[in-house]
This record gives sequence, C-alpha cells and structure tokens, in this order.
Amino acid sequence: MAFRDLLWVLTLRDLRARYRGHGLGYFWSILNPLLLLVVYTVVFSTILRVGIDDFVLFLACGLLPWTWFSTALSVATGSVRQGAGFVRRIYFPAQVLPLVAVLSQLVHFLVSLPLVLLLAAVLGRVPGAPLMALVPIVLIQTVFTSGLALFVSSLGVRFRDLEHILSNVLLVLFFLAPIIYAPEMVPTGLRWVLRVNPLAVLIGGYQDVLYRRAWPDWMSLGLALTVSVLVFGAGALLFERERRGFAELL
Amino acid sequence: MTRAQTGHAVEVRDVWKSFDLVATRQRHLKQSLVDLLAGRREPRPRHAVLRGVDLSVARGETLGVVGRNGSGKSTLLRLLAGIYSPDRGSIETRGRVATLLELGAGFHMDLTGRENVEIEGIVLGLSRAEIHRRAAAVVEFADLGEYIDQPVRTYSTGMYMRLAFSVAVHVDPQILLVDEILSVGDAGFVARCHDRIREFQRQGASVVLVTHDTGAAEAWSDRVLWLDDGRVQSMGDPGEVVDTYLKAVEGG
Ligand SMILES: Nc1ncnc2c1ncn2[C@@H]1O[C@H](COP(=O)(O)OP(=O)(O)O)[C@@H](O)[C@H]1O
Ligand SMILES: [Mg+2]
Repeated sequence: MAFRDLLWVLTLRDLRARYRGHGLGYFWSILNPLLLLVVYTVVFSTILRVGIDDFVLFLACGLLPWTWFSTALSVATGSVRQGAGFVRRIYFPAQVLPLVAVLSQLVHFLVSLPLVLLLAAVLGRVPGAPLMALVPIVLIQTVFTSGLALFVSSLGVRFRDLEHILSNVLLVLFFLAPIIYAPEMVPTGLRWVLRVNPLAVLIGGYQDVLYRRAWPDWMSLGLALTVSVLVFGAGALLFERERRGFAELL
Repeated sequence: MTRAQTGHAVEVRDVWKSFDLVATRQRHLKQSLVDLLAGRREPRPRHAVLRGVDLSVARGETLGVVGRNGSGKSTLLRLLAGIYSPDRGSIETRGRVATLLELGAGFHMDLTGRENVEIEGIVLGLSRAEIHRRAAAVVEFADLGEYIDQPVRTYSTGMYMRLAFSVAVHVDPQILLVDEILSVGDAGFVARCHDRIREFQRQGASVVLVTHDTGAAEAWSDRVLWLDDGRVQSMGDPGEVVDTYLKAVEGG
C-alpha cells in the first residue's frame, strides 16, 4: 500500500537525517531526557524530598513517554509547513507528515527504553511478566499522540502562533500527569483528573510495569484507548477537511 | 494534429481559481478566536487568478504554455496535478501524473542523491519494490558520477535538476507537468531530456510544458496555449501562437 510505503520511507528519512554525521546519534537522542532526569532527580529527591523510593526510576517511567509525546506534537505542528516541498509539488497524502513525526519520536522513545530497564536492574527492580503490557500501552499512546498530531498539524498550516500556544499548553499538561509526583499525593477530590487524562493513565501504566512491577489497570487503559480512538478519528476528520487547502497556504 | 487521438489525457472545463490575498490572511489563532467570539466575520477579498479556463491535452501530445509572469501558468499546472482544487469547473486527468515544479524541493539536503531517489520515487507514487527496480536506471540517466552518493547539499542547481528530472521520467508518468525548469540544465542534458520527452510521446504519454523560452515552446510542443490574465488568449499552432504572443509582449 502506497501510504504505508510513504510512511516508512519518510520516517526512515527523518531518522537517517538525524543520525547522519553524528557518531553520537544514539547519545544525542537520549541526551535531553537524560539531562532532565538528572536535574529533576537532584531537585526532587535531594532538595524538595518528595519521598518516592528510587525516584530516578519512577521519574524515568514518566519522563521518557512524556518526551515522546511532547516532542512529537511540537514537531508535528510545523510538519506540513516543513513538508511544503512535497505538498506544493505533487498530489500528496499530507497526513503522513504528522504521523512521521510521531513515529520517528516513537523510535527515539524505544531506543531509550533499555536505559530504563538498566536503571531498574541496577535498583533491583527487574520487571517480570507485566513487561508485556508495554506493547498495548505503547500502541495506545501511538494512537492518542497521532490523533493530536493530526489536529495540531492541520491548524499549524494556517496559524503561525500555534507552536507558541502549544508549548504553553504542554507546560500545563506536564503537571496534569503523574510524572514528578505520585498519584497518591493528589487530594482525592482531584484524582479524577488523572483518570480521565489518557496521558496520565498511560504514564501510570508505564510506572505500574516498570516501577511497581505490576500489571497495569486494564479498565483505565481501556478507557484511554477509547478516548484515543475518538481523538484520532476527530483529528483525521479535521485534517481531511482542511487538507485540500494546504498547498495554497504554504 | 496528425497524431492519432485515442482520447484525452487531460480535460479542463471552465475552471476558476482565486486565492485569499496573502496580505489579509489570518495568521494568528489567538486573533481568530477573538474574532470568532466577537462575532466578527469580514469577507476577505479574493484574487481571481484563473477565470474560466478550458483546455484538453490528447494522449501523446505536448502542450506548451506561455504567458506573462503572474498570468496563472503555475496555478494551472498545480490544478492539473490535483495540488490545488478549483473553485469552479472540472478537471479530469487519466493516468499517473509526475510534476517538475519547484526544482528539487522535497529533496533532503543531508541525504545522498541515491537516498533521495528512493524517497522521491515513492512520493511520486511508486512502490518500494518498483523504485528499487528502477533506481539503477534513474542514477544512470542523472549521470552524476560519484556525486550520487554525496549529500544533495553539495549539488549545483543543474545537478539537482538532473536528479529531479531523472526520477520524474522514470516513474513512467502518463502525464508529465513541467514548470520552467528545463532552462536550468546544460545543453547536453537538455537534449537528453528532449529525447526522453519524445520517447514519452511515442509511448502515448502527454506533457504540459510551461516555459519562458518561446523557442523551446515552439520546438517541443504540438500545440501552444497562451494564457493571459487567467484566460486562454489563444491555443493552437505553436508558430502562430508564439508569434502573436511575442507581438503582444513587445507591443507593451
Ligand atoms: N498560493 C497562492 N496564494 C496567493 N496567491 C497566489 C498563490 N499562488 C499564486 N498566487 C498569485 O496568482 C497569480 C498567478 O501566479 P502564477 O500561477 O504563479 O503565475 P505564473 O506562473 O504565470 O507566473 C500571481 O498574482 C500570484 O501572486
Ligand atoms: Mg510560474
């Protein structure tokens, strides 16, 4: 299928271009989350003392999926604009552009996972069978992120200030998921936020598997999947509606 | 026209196209939301670029398109390629379309020529298996020597064009849309492009060739269309149309 070939070859293009010329390719792709991991760990376990055991592992479980999510959306916002060289030159299924952003960030996420496993091993928290649950969790996150990516990328064609707005929204979203705090710390009256936010559910899932060494809560994941599919459908519809006008706006 | 006409590759009927003026486009989401909430909806002025264009291109025919800057030639090609959609009217094309618009745009500067060939082939509608089968022929036609394995960043404009043209002609388009760019290459390469286009025509493919070079338009085309201010001013015998066009341009 042509669309799949396109998705594949453009993702590969993205990854090749990124790693080309840097012998340090792998290192670069994990440098940013690594840096955040170190800084946050220092701040939250030695200065603010949040009192989460093995905080560095807990944090890694949330921070790496978050980095995938937020970077993918930032890149997706400008992806159609970046892809003007295709969109203005040939009849082109522009949907691939934001999806490529999600997939190539997914690859970065996947190559950083061994780091988390290593960390878990060092801390004596080797995950067992629940590790398999990462597959559905990653898939749900892919669907959710892709839906939002389609949404922001189609708005990003017209609106130049979207990138700026998005970075502010992401700043807020970061605190609406249990990345630097544990769900138990949240007042009971506010916990529903974590239950309805698919990203919070997904991050909880990574923590269940990789930090708590338990199976995730399938009910919550089912709900996250439902929301993700709806978001994807809405994003795809909006994109399809706007797509015909993209070439002339670029 | 002596060429056997077994139907049209391109048919355009009464096509109109206008654009939002670039200057008045809403570029800020914040402002748009404020306008929306305040119930403000100003009608934006549109700029009519094509005003009722009719044309057809037969299988195997080459149509040259000439006209002043801003007369709508590139817009017409993009409509034919399906890149823009018309406000009114209908456009039908039969068969795979390849374009040579905006030379080399879409090539990734940090990747090699060979890597870009694979990407470009798929973007132009081939499957991965097909482009792998044809890659050797593309590389040979482009004739870039060792540069084919160098990043495209190191290419000259002429080299870009060779690579872009080479991929476009190897995807076996039934319709090839060319905008201006054949004036960039060196004489030898242009001659080979010419041969290749002739070969296309023999195989029944159609070419729409927008060019500033009225000599080339005359030499390469079966018919020439003169587009003026978004209307078909005349269309027919290359020599005659080019003559009247040149007289009009020189006359001011
Ligand atoms: N995407 C666009 N948005 C707004 N105006 C455009 C766009 N594309 C072309 N135009 C305008 O349409 C007119 C015709 O442009 P074009 O088709 O490129 O002419 P030509 O190729 O004959 O020089 C020009 O006035 C140009 O400014
Ligand atoms: Mg033009």
